[in-house]
Amino acid sequence: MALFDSEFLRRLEYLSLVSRRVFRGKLLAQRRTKQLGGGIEFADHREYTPGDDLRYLDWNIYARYGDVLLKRFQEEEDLHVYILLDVSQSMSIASQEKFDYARRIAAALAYIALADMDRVSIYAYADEVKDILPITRGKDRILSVLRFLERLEPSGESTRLKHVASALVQRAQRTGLAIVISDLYDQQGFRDGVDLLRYRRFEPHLIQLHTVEEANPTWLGDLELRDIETGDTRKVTISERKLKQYREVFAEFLHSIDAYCRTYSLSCTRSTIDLPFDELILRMMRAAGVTA
Amino acid sequence: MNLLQFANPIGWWAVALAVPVILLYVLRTRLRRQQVSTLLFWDQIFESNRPRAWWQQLRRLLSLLLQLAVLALLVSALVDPLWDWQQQRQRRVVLILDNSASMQAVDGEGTTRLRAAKQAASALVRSLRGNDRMAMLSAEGTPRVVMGMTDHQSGLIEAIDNLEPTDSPTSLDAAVTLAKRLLSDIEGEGEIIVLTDGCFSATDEWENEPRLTPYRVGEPLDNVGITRYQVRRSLLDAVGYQILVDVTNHGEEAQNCRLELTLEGELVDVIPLELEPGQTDTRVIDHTSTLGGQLVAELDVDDALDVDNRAVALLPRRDPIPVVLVSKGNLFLKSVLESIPLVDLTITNESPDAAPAGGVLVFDRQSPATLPAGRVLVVDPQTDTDLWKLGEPISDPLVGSVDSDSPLTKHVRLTNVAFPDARQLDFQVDAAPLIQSAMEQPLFARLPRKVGDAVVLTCSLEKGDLPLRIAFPVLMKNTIEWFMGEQGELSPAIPTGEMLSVSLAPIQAGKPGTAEPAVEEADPEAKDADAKLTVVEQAPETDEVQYVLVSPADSQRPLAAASDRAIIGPLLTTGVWSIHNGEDYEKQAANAATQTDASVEVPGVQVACNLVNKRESDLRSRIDISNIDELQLLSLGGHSLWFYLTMLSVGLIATEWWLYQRRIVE
Repeated sequence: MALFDSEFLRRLEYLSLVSRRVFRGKLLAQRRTKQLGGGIEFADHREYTPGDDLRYLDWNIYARYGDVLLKRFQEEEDLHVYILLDVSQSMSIASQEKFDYARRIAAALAYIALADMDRVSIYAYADEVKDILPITRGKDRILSVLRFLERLEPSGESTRLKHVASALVQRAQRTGLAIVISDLYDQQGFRDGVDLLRYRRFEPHLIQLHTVEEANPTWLGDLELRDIETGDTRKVTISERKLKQYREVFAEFLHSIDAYCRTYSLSCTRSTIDLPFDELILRMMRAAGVTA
Repeated sequence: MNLLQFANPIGWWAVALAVPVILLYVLRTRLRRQQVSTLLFWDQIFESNRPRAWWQQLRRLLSLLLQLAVLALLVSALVDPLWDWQQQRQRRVVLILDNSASMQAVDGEGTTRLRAAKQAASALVRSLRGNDRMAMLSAEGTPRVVMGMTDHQSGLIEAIDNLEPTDSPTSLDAAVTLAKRLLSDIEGEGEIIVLTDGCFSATDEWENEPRLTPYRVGEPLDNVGITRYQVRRSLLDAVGYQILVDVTNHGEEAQNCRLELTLEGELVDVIPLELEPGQTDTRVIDHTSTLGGQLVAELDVDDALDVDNRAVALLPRRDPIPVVLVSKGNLFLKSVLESIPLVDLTITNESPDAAPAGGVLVFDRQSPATLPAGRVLVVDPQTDTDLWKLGEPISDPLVGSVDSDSPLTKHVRLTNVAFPDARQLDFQVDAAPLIQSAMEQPLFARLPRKVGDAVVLTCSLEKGDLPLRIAFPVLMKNTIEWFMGEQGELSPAIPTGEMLSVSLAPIQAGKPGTAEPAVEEADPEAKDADAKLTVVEQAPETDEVQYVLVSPADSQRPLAAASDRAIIGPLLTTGVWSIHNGEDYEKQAANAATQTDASVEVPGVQVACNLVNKRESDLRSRIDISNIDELQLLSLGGHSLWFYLTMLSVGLIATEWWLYQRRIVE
């Protein structure tokens, strides 16, 4: 089955409709900018100065009072959505199911954003930025987004969210929503990257994906564990006791993510890849509807 | 290792198993690979448990070495190496298995001592090596070579399994003598291993035999048993009988029990007994019955040994005595004869031609010229006969003397008693006067005859006071009983393990029922160990009458008989044994099988046999010997050392698998 087949696209359309009707664009926190400009919503008057566009003169005021005032409108600015997609080798576990799932999530979010006339850019990263979809706008660009996602391959020898965050803040012309889609198995810790985004006034949103086997492995016996990213191996004997310890450590890892997000009021969505991607999106919509 | 020989050198091929073991080890060490998204979490777990001790680093190598050691043990078990000392020391063992009555005692674990001894013996047999040989003897009443010296282990084990318990006392001394004789033909010292419960008294021969190694089976047990039991007809009462019974408490605690006596299934008496520890209660019990048969004594007690809780004796039957009184009427004589027990009196006027069969003919004041054949009593004779001629009346017929030694006149007191109308008797035969007048003239005399003894009393019963005296019925009773004889007064019950010489006359006479066997103990020299080797000789192939000895369990075996006597024994089972004419017995068996005329009893001689042995009933060992557990230990439970090493190696394999494969060791 192709990564983005017609069924997928049909679901994307459905999600887009749901997003508009139910949540009215709140999913991506559609908002106005603080700048005044060429919008359609009136904001204020100011004195005319030579050179101003005469189309914005308030002729009614001039006829009634003889004052030459210029109408000012609140400029409506598009939201910039930056999707930081983890394409490290750790995402390719379980026959790339996790990677495919992450790409579908990215495609869905991009579609919804484009449908809302937001601007979308995708940063594929591992230990460094592997590929970038330049910022784009308009629903008609969705096919280019999908093609971009389709040609991505897992790569890299580690995961460095901090590197992609640095690249993002340097490249991005404007701040916006930074959606991190990753398993967050960052050898150096994902917090530095998220902190950097926060400091630069991006709004980070974490979507953590993991497989069921990562949360609850069932292997027993003598094993040689191989890190799919780094290639490091460990010869271990896994007993039921060790599995229990693993589950405790993994739960502690998830708990630390929750605590971090709560501390900095970050939104975080976690899912295993056996959950249908549209279900995950709807879950995110509901969460946004509640909090928005 | 100083090995000279391997019992199974072909087992060395098993060394090749080391190759797959090593291969499997190598294959196992190439661990199954598992890709993981990250090692972050696994490192957290294993970092704290990283093996640091040197032996933990060798954990895997240790596993391989362990497996190779296991393989080495297996190979060793297969090739069965013999050390030089083992080769030089080829065991020659004579195993004596005590299968006496006390070995039937049930220990606390619910098994008999004999069964425990058999298990130990089987284990001992299985522990024999290739060049070892063993013989087996049983130590019942007569020691028996159950299996000669052999190295055939399965045959020995089968012989052990087939060894039956007996009710016989232990004869370990004779068994040891026999064992020494077996070992005398063999080079080297040899061993004599005895498995017994120690319920016997050790002798010097037992204690001074260096090759002897006894082992004790069973723990001391309390027991109550019948240690003596006989019955006999009363000497004073024709229908009475006396039972002599001893019951002994061989225990450490007092016992209350009951002794039940039954005669042919009919309850005769129940005697409550209170026995202190070690006490023997001796009872003489009197009863009366004309019946005969099996008189069984049974102890109602729940103890370790059953065989001594029951004893049987044979009570001779009392048949009626036909007495024919030829008289014209004599109330005194008629009454006194009728009062004598068992007498079946017939009164007639005419003299019969002969005395009744098995009975007595009494003439009152008359007698034919020639007394009929048989037992004859003549009271107040009036005419001459072939045995005497009548003389003049005795002038002073006072009793002068009574022969108190004669059974005819025992308990007769006739001092100053007159015998009126007594007449002088001129005996024509060699008479024995028993009562005489003061002038030594015979008043009562016994006259021996070839055709039957006669007794004469010259006295007019109607004129004197003799009939009014107690002496008169005593005299008549003595006379009748003397005529009938005292045979059958005692039919002794014999102890198990004894040999007997039995009279076959009742069989030859065709007398039906349980006759009174004339039982005599065999020549004491016949009890010698040599003689005991022969139990019962097989009947020779002659035209003589073939007899069979039938056991209480109704099994039969031919019996060698010389003329009218047969030697039987040793009898190893309690109960009633019987001897029958072989042909008659077969006919009876055939009739019983076809249900035709099965009620006809075949004439036979019965012998009661009981344990009645204090040494066997006392289940507390009287000798200080090693427990049988030590033999089990020495014989390694019936397997070679290598068997256990193999079992150990299997256990090690299981442990290794459990520890490593189940990740107990990490």
